[in-house]
Amino acid sequence: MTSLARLGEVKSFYRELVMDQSRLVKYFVGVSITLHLFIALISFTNLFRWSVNLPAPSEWGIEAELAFDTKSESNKDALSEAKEAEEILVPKQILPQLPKTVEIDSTQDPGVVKETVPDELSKEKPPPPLDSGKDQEADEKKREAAVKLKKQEALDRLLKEKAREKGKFADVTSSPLSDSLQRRKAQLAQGGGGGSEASNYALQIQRAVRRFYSIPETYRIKGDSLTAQIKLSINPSGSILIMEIENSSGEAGFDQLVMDIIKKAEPLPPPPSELIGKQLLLSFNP
Amino acid sequence: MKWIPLFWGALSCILPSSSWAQGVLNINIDAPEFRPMAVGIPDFKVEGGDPKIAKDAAAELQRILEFCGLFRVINPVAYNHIPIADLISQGESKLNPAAWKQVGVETLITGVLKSEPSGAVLELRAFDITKGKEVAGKRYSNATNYIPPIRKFGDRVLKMLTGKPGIFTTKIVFVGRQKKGDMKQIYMADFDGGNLEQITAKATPHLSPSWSPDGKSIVYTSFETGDPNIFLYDLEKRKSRMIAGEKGLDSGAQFEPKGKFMVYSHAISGDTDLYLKNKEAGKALDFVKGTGLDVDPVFSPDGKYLAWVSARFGNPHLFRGDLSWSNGVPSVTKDERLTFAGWYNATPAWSHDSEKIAFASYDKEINRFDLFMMNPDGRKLERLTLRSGDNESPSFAPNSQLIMFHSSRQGTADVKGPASLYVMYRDGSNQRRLNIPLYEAQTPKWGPFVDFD
Repeated sequence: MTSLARLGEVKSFYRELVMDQSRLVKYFVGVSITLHLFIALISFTNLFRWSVNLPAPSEWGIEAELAFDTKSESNKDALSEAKEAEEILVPKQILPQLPKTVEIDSTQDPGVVKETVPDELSKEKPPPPLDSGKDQEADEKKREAAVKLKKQEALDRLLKEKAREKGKFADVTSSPLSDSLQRRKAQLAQGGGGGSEASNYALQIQRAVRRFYSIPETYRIKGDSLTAQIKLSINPSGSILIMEIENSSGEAGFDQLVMDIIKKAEPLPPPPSELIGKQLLLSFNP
Repeated sequence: MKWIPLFWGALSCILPSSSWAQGVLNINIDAPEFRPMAVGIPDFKVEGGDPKIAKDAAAELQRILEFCGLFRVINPVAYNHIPIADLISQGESKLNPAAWKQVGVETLITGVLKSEPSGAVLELRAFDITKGKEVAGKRYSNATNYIPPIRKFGDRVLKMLTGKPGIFTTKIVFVGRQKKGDMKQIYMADFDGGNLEQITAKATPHLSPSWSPDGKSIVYTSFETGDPNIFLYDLEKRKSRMIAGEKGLDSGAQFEPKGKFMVYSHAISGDTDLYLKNKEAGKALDFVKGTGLDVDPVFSPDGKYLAWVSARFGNPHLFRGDLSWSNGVPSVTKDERLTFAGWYNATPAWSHDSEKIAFASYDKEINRFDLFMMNPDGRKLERLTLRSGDNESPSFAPNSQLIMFHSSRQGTADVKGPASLYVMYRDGSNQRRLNIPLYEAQTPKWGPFVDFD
């Protein structure tokens, strides 16, 4: 056939197509589907993908860290060429507001745990993000709990090492922690919290008082049969509400000495919310 | 049935309180830091008599309290302004603890010198500021010689604060030489090396003095009969007699805790063993026999063990034997080796609570003897001296807090000079030389508590 004839054929084909509406529709639908399928296929095979400048994984990491610790050293290494951005003051109204029904469990505040965690430990683990959106709350809580679990284990380990170095097994510092560790594991399934606050608080009080626990050598020679038990109640501002001798050591001087030591340690760490008003029993041995 | 609601009402009142008690948070506070007790000694008041006596007495009190390592005397300038006249005359009722707490005094000792027809009188009072009470108050006559009253009072204060008698009235025996070339003689002195008294004065050497448990006699080894024999010196009668003089070489006698028998090493025909003998009379009994040298025996103060040096495996090492007693006569039932390290371990000494053994060991690497301390089973070995000449012959104070020994160091120089007596705290700290006016002083033995009043 000649090209002209072919052209004529094509022309007539299209004329007919346009005349016939339903056929036209079917035609266009068919073409559209074919083209879409084609493009889809191509996209799967990466043939014509335009090169995306994805940031390197290390830079992704930095983005995450900025949310926790703006003073982190690693930031400076990766973004050495970056210029410091001008501070942008974002009006509060635009920031995502936390819905009022969300409960941020204050006892899960990493700040509390951070105080009791020795320096070496706080360097290893960054604290979990402080504000959580409503959707991710459950995930955040699970992550916090997992981090807390690791922290408890590491803290447990570290304290045990320190106690072993001292030559004494500080049973109160490790057993409540390992107990609370097991409780935590049980509670993870329920998604609850709490229980280790008591042992954390006990540790804080122990540290605060032991800092002043310096007694004359004469008591050591007198013997380790001396044990003074002092009942203590601390108010939320850290002052002593009640302090009395629960069990005397038998040596009035020693009893008075340990009470003076507790007074010296004021202001004491205030009790966490659930322990307010709870009585503490401090046992002093030389 | 009206009492049922009443019963439940009563129960509901009890139950919450019991659960409250269960809810107490237990916190253990242990492992304190130990420090000396802060003592205040304001200038002694003088109501009559020589002010110099009052001044010297206060100075002596400060010196002995700091000697024993348990006290730190705060400079009186910090508290001389606090009025004590009423306190001295009337005692506890006039005590103002707050004023003393402010200057940091924990134990306060006041003194007043009076002059009476009978002579000088020294009145001393000790107050526990933390407790707010007077813990000791004594009046001493014949106070012109103020040293015995001050030391007795110091003992009293130590007894009140530590539960154990004080050491300020205890004595030591040791071997010394007036000058180079002299024969070694036995000397006795106060716990701080003062009041030197010569016990023997023969033209032959004397060695290894040791105390009887009652503090009334000293045993020592003397060469006055030619070969070394054991002599007993009665401190009251000031006389000595030979108590072990068989053929052979007898030396190193030590009493058992009951004071009836003594153990010593006896060398004959090349073998040295331990023998037991009644100090009054009697035959020498075999105590520890075996191959190799057996010397330096010491009984544990609780009467359970004997520690001694044995060379049965070659180098001299410390051994410990279990004691069994029948009719007051001890015998060694089994023995156990205590030291495995070191080239030459010697001169063991028990602490008076029988909890530690101090001894000297030769460190071949530095060619020095040094003092070590360990538990009676050989564990927890700790070193007490280093780089300070040769240090040997440790002896515990009767309250087990201080150790006396002899050292060849000269000042701070790590040399092997003539030995002098040193005293240190039982952890090896604060080593100070006793000022004894002799050319050489060695092998000290600290005497027992002196029981008075």
